[in-house]
Amino acid sequence: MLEVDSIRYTVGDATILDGVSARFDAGCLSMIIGPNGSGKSTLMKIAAHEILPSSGDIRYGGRSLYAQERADVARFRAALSQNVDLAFPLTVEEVVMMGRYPHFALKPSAADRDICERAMARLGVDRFRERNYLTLSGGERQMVQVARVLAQIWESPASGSRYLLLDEPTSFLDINHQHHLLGILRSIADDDVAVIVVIHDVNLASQYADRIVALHDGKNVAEGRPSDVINPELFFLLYGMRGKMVRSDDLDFPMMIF
Amino acid sequence: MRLSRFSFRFYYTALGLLLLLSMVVAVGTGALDITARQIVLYLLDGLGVHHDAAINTLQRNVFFEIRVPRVILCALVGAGLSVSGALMQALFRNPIVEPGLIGTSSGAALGAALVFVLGKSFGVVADTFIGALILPFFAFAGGLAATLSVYRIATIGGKVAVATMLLVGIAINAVAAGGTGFLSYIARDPQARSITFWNLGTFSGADWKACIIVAVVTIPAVLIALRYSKGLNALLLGEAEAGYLGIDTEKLKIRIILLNTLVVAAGTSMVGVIGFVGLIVPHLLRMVKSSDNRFLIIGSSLLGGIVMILADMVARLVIAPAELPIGIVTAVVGAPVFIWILIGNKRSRHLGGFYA
Repeated sequence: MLEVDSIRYTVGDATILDGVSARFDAGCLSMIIGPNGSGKSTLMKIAAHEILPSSGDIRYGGRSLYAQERADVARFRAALSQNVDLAFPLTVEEVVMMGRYPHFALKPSAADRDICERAMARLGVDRFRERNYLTLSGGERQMVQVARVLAQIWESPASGSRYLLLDEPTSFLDINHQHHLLGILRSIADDDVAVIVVIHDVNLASQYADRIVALHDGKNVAEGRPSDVINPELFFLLYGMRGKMVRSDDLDFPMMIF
Repeated sequence: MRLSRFSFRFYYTALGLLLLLSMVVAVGTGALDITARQIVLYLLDGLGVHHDAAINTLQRNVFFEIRVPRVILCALVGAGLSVSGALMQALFRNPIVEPGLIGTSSGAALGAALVFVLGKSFGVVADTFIGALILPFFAFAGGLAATLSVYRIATIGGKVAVATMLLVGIAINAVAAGGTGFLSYIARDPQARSITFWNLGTFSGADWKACIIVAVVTIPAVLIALRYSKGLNALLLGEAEAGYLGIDTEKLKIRIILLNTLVVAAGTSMVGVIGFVGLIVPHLLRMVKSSDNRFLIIGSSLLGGIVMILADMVARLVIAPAELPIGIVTAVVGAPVFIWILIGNKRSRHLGGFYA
């Protein structure tokens, strides 16, 4: 369980996060929605230990993130930023193998190679494993990056859960790739991983998420199952737009039309 | 682009053999030709193995006191500068960085010149062991100051601005070269007076003492650098991703800068500034095989030695019996390669980056 406990984050006079608390359970695909500037990405960065909050605590499995070694946390928590580029050419396989870095000292073991292989197969990137990453399309690159973070937390730790944090993983993908990726994230969560995704598309969130956390002005304004959270009032609060909610027998989730 | 199918081990073996071959050829070549048979005899002799062949004492001394240390120093400095290039390129996330461009070499040269010139006139640097260490130490301080200045000024919001880096590098190089020029102008020592020695480097002063000082720094530094190859690879994804992979990027960066400066300072304080080797060698390795930093570090330490030995041979032979400063050779070959990388970079931006 990942607990975000009254996180505040200020830069100068600006308060980016104003006492956000939330919890994310293993086996659950959680999605964080909210307008631009609501603090979604900042919350992700704090939860991944990239930046430190002004106050508040992040707990993984009940233990404060700040009481644990980065290298240890990296064995059960993987994270992926919004835009990952690569400075030099590496093969797809080499990039995915980076996910195993927290697990070996100098050279990957046979087990690491096997996991790398399976992670590539899961994301369907094994067919171009020898390709130079820099020559791939945006969609292919994203799949390779997800394979990398998946390889990082492939095995369950001796105790505690696994966590996967992704900041807008679908933003540069076409519709087919979006659904393909979210389907995979869905199945990773079903594998007893706490998957936390920042996403802009509320309908995708509604369709795939077990839980939605809505941020507005640095505050957590709604939290719960999509069918409980998604309603026109929330969307007016978040985006200042009057939308129409659609429910039909064909859909087991609410959709918003704007 | 298809990256090479040959295994890493193939490249290590091939480069290792080439290094050995170039060393043998280089110790045999010069104003006095030494044949392979004689080399074997001298080596046997040096190891105390008994044999009946006649030994030419003059040639034997040339071999042991001049050729061998010179070739070994070439291999060590070449390895050091090339590994340093690979480390800096990974750290700056840019393939056009090398110790000569970002001030490390010229800063180290200034530090060394300071000791060489002023130290000699104050009589501080005697021919003692401590005296021998003062020179590399000041070179280290100078190189570190220069590298840190360039790195700090060129880093904006955690990212290195390449244009700024090159401009700051030019400025720092100019300041350091000015200082070195001033020192060589006021120097009494004939070698220190030679500004070409500092700016273009030469192995003509190579001796066993220099070999030992450079070896003691370079060999452990390369081995330590290997331990950071994983971290440097992760850094290719950016600092945030490297952090998510459990790497303390701040610590890593400082350690790499220190390690790099140590290696460059040790070499530069003995042979002066030699440019472009640290640029070309990792670049060649990336082209033929991979950008994996483990490969680049091992490969650079082998290929760097080969390139430096060959460059030194050219420097010795091209206007024999006189010698060219080696920096002229490396610049004549290296600068066009540098331009070629820049042009390739401009083109490949459309295709998805360098080497694509």
